[in-house]
Amino acid sequence: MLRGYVRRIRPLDILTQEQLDQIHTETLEVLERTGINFLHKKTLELMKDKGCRVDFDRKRVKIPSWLVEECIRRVPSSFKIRSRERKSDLRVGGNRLYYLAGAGMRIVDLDTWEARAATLEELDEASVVNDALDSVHIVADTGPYTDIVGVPPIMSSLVDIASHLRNTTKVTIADNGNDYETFHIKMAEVAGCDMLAFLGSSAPLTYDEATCEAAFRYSKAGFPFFLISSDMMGGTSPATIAGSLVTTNVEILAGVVMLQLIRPGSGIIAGDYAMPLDMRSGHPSFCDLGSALHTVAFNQTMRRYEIPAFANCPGMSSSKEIDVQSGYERSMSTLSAALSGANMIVLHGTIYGEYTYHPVGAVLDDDVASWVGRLLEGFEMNDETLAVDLIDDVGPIPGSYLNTAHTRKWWKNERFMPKAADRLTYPEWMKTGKKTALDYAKERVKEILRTHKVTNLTEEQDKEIDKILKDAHAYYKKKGLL
Amino acid sequence: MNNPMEITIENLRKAICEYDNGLALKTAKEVVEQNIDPLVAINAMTGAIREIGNAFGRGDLWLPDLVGASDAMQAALPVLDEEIQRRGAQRMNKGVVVVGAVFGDIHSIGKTMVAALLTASGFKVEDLGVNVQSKRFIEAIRSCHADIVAMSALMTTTVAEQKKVMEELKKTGLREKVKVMVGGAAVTEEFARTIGADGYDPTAPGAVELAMKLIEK
Repeated sequence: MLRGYVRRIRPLDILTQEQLDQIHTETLEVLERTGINFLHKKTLELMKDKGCRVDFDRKRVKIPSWLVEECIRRVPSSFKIRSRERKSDLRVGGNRLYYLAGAGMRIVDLDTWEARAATLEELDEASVVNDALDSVHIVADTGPYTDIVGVPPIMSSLVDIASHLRNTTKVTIADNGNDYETFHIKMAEVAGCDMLAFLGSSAPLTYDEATCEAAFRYSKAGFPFFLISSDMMGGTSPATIAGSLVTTNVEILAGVVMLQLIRPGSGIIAGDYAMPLDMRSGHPSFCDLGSALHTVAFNQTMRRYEIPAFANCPGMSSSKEIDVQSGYERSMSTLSAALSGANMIVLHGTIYGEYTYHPVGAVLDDDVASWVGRLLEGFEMNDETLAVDLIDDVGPIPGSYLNTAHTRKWWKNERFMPKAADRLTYPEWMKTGKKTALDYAKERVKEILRTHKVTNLTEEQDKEIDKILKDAHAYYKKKGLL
Repeated sequence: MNNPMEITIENLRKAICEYDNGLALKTAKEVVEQNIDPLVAINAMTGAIREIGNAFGRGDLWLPDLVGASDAMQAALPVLDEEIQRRGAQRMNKGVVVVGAVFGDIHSIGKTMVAALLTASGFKVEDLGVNVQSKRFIEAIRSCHADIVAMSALMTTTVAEQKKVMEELKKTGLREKVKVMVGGAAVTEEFARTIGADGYDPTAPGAVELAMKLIEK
């Protein structure tokens, strides 16, 4: 099992107990007064059968409070996801933090910072890098790339997942819609693993047909769920953080009810992807402070419910380049999410929003993720580390700790050694030709691609995956989607 | 200024500038009751919208202001349009745009912003909503005598629907009569080119500029 990072420090709370309770009560009120639209007949019938008030014409479901609270109780506080190798299994929840490598539509040129379609080779390389990075624990469905040379858009998610299965043993998320579920489930069976099934509400207050259908299909396959609410604050949810906290919570809990009614005990990690709407362009404001505050409060809310929490905002930043802005946007967002108890954070590799990606970015994010993860684990405090006897031995000047066994034993443990950062002295830095973190990251990617050994699928499994892709291709061609 | 007609026109401008739908509708009715030329009333509103648009361009006002002003104008338009028709006159507009999110896509915010901004810029907009089948696009283009059709798709999987609409336009002989613009997070310039669309823009204000360019062609 992948260890991830175990949070040993008290999580950051920004809501008082009374505020936390009020968010819950207001959520129950919206679920019962306003309700949610489920655009799927089978889901409407299920909800009606289990005690909700359902208007079939409007497709509106009003969920009674007792049912919401019952379904929250059914969500396990942590759950397992099987990968295709035991060492890459995950236990999601509790005080553990994992990182998800992100998804971007296109690859970015590291000189011009312009976006272009990725090649299949670049797709595979990105997965190999993610397999090698210690702080990547899970990889994205529509990622890293969806604009791939020679791959029709409808096939990109399936091609991505096939590339994951071939180039990393780490768990992958599974996509939904357009009958992708059928093919993802088949691929998972061939590879002998589970996938984390992605479902998302459509703000405001709606679950579309494809999502509901996927809920049934993936429940039958026994996959746990990654359930996300993507509010655009001021656009599809209130402009206020408190108001969007309510709408996010409403959408998440409506999804929790749906999933727990379909299959009681389903593992769910609830995702927050609330972003302020940029009031000039109509696009999301990536890595905004508003998102960070929302995420911190969301994590606290999920801890109240003992539902594992996922922070989707940190890996989507505004800068189009890997620069100071992207550094501070991603680091501050990751840190606030981790300190407030997120169980999973999306980070590695994305450059601008979900538009661009590069494995060099993933390597730099590996240092950020590891730094933050290490911070969560705190430091050891015991007689040996307090070192009072040693302090007495060494005494004042000219005493030194450099030559002590204590220093030899402990120094590496008590700091962080980044793998792609400039830590040289000034004269050394001049001698290297002024190498930057970006230079080190490029070298690290080359090194990984040259030396890293991936646990491949067997030849038989590989052939089966190929067949599934061919079948999918024929299926979508017949449907006129190719 | 104590001429009642001037006061009414000023109230209409006020309704736009204060994003007051209720006042806009009330004042539109007063325009009709007081026998004011409805085209004068419309000019007053578009003038107010233009000022708000300029302020948006300078960065002094934002999307909520533009959309609020557009909504207020939309509240007044049906009453004024009816009066214009009754008088046998015609409302000038920059062009007619059919707007919708393609079949399979229920995401509405982007399309709603574009529709509001197009209205604010003087276009007549027929908003078909979300999850729009290709034949509904075709019917609307025909019945409205649309100059432009603006389609949005948020998800990669529904981008294929935009292709479908293009094929329907060719089949029904409408392709030459209407300009096609596409947009949405999943749409790229290359895709727009591949399907033969006339233009693409990823932002709401950009969509308006594109519509202005297309209408001149």
